[in-house]
Amino acid sequence: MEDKYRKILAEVVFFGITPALAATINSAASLSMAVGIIFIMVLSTIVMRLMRKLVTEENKVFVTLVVTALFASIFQMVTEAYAMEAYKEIGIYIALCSINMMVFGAAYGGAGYEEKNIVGRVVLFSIVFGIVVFAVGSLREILGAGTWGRLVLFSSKAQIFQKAPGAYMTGAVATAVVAFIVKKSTKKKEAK
Amino acid sequence: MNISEIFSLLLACIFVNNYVLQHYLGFDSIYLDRKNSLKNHGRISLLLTIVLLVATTIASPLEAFVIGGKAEWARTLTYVLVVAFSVFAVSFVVKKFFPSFLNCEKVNVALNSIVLGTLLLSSSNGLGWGASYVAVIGTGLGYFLVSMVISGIGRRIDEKAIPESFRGVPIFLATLAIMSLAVYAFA
Amino acid sequence: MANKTLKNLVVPVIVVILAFVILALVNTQTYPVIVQARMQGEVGPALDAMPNAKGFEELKLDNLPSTVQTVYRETSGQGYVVKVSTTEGFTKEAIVFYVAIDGKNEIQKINVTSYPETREVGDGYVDTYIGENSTLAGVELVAGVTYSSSAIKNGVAAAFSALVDNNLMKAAAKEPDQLYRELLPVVFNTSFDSMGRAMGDEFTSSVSGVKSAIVSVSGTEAAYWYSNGDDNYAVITNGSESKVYTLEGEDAYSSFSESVRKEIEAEAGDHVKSLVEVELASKPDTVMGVWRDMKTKGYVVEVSTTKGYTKLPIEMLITIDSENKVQEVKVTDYPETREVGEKFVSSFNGQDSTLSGVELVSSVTYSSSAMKNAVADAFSALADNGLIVAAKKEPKQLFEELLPSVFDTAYNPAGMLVADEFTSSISGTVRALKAKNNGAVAYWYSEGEENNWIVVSNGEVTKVYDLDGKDVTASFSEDLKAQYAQEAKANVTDTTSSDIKRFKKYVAGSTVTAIPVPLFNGATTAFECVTENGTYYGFGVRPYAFENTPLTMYISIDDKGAIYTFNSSSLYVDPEYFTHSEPEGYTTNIVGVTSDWTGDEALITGATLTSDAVKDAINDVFACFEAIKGGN
Repeated sequence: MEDKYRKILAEVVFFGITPALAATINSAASLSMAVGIIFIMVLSTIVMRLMRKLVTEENKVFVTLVVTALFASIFQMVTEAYAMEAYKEIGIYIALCSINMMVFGAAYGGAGYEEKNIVGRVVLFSIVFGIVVFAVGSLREILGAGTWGRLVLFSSKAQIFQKAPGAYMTGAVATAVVAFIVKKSTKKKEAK
Repeated sequence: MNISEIFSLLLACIFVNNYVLQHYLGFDSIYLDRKNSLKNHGRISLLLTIVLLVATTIASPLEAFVIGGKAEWARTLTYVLVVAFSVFAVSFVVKKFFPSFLNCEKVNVALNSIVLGTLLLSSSNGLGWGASYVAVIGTGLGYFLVSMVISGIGRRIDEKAIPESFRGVPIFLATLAIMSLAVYAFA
Repeated sequence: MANKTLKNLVVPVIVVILAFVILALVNTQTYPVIVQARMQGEVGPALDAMPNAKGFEELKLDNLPSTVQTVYRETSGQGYVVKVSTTEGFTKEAIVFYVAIDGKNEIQKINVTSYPETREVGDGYVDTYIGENSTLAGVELVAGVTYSSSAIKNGVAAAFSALVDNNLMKAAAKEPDQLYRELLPVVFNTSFDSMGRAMGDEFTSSVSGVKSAIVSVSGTEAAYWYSNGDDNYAVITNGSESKVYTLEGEDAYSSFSESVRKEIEAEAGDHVKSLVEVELASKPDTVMGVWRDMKTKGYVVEVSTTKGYTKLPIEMLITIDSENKVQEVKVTDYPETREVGEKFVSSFNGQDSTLSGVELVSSVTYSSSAMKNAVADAFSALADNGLIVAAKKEPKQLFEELLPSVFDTAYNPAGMLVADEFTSSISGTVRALKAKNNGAVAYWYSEGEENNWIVVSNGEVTKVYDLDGKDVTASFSEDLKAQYAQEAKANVTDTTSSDIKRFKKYVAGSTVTAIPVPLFNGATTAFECVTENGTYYGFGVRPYAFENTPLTMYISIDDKGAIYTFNSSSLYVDPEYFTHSEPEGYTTNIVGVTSDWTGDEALITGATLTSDAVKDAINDVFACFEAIKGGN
């Protein structure tokens, strides 16, 4: 990954996580959300890339919006139909992914001409993002409810993690960890 | 709705049910704005509220007559379009009549998940027309509150004292965590 | 240019249209699946209620009770599942459950999916509904969880009505006993317990055809269940008048046999009281109402007192017989934190207006004394209005009731006498009591039955009272007074010399001489302490602070009337509230106060008994000082 992208990875994750934070209540829900975001982000970027000749400067924002909304709706409908349990947890928040800045930013970039390798980069970003989301969800679930998926780990729990403050806290830690990893790998690269 | 219900809904939206702190909406643009002055915060919040008001005005009847129960698949897309349209309309009006008000914030506002989020929450909570307006005003005020506090705190944070990994985004999220903790106590 | 416009306008529009089309297409695919899934989500709990069901069909019905959400018919004819959501429970949040009713119109199972109540009804509770038909005759409420269990019961009843009203099944007929039981709250004026059953005295009726008979709690009405084989009736009577109802609650007076009715009335007359309310010209606050029992010629008095521990009303019904003695005390409301016990309540039985045989219950003194005073008030209400003649109190009772006010230094703050009996050598003395803190002595002196006096003395000061409480010291025999004073002095421990030593220490550089104690109060010794700077007065004060432990204090006061020194051998503070002894700075706050003080300086937070004792002691010192100065 190029340097400039690496440096803003933490911020990218941050922008991506905003609508998703609500869905990170437990690991299963966050997994579904991660899958959804990957789905939406990658597909929107591909479509925008394909449409880059048809789209003008003024139009870009609007068209990107529509395209991401389209894929978000599709994902929402499909989830409700075939994965009812997951839908119950994250259903309402999927819609917000359509204006998830990260998704939007990726698709927007897809419509541009500068980045050649945008799809590949987007796929990479989204997988990293998915991991982060899953980690946050798992952490919240373990600390907040003592379970991890089907495993029941602890009987004592700190319920605050299941609510808003906990989400923000784990989000802070997660993005800090990402930044830390980036910093370490950048230092390593520079040392080479 | 009588006055006390309106008032309690308003208060709830600003504090207990703050859309930024409890529903995780809109803090991405707060992050971007965090170095702004108080006046700018006020302006952005005002713009946000106006966009929301316009959007709610269009979306509520749509929800009631077109979508509700029948065409739920179209909801997200429709709302996004409504938001885009309201942003466009509001920015057009602002540019024409109050050119010195703000420069390029419209993109910020449009992409702000709080706009779409408020619309969606209003529809899923089944608030009627009038209550949605109250919620909108509450949202704007809540957003203003949070952005004010964040920028105030941001000025006081000593960047050097924070470990490098925590600077910027993580410390911002941690600040939000503490704020939401404080508000959570009200719930 | 056209190209640009094309791109600018047309492309977005096409994109939007395309997006909608795609969404609509996807929707056609997913919508049926979603509906199915939603249905599955609904049906899941219904399936749990009727596990052998093949499938469910939702019925669209009008006429549904408000608590019934949905009615499902099982597709292979096994019966119905009704979803009930009721907010009649304790928390007013929805209790949601599914009732499976089988082909026999009986409950197969109840599946509770949401129970937000604060108390559990118990795991086995919903199982008690199994096999019940629409009468729910065998279902009881759960004691202590009445709101929740009655919400469930009413919800199940609503489920049945939903089916019955829509002609899906026929309601089962209720048995007469259930109808009678359910009718009583409507027509019979008595108390009902938490299960809805009538309270009162049941009795066996000799009238043939009567299935059950009960007298109301107030004793003024009786309820009969009468059956002549085919028909059942409820008869409510007060012995002279009656009301007759069918078990459906309809008036059946005119169609009911007159002879049977008269038979019932006659019998009931023996069981119910016939009470007539009496208007009183004046009555104590605690007396709510007085009734004359026309049959027994006695009285029933309703009292309510708030002088107990909790200050909430304790309510009682006192029945007084024709000999002006208590027949029975019934406690109808008791909000106190501690029970007074059955023994106390029955100790009133047979007592006359003196209540001489009624003793307070130790450690429940507030409550028991409030109740005793209320009963005494009931008697006063009757006596003062000329309805009865008050019994005269025996001298013994008068003595014991007067003693606390004149011999107060021998009582501890809980109101118990802390004294030893001893034999007096003075003839005519009935009783002699020596206070355990060696402060004073009390005597009961009697000259013949009618003449009784209380004499109290601390060896220096002697006071005499008659049994009505009047101070008759001046008119009492001087010789007798001197005799008692002398004997008292001999029975009071002389602490003079040890007190002198203490005051020599406390009032530095003083010459201490004993002086007569000027008053009969908590001060047991008095001294004059002369120093170079002036004259001070010292007093040894020994009140009871905590239970039966006297608190000894040595207080000196300067000749302007301000406290000079304050010492105590041990400020024994109630260990329940306070874990350390004398708080810092306590004595310094007290030094310098004068007789116009507020008393706040003596306050020790959490140790009221001790604080009060200190306050009283200091006030006693001020009083003695006044007496000395006034005498000079």
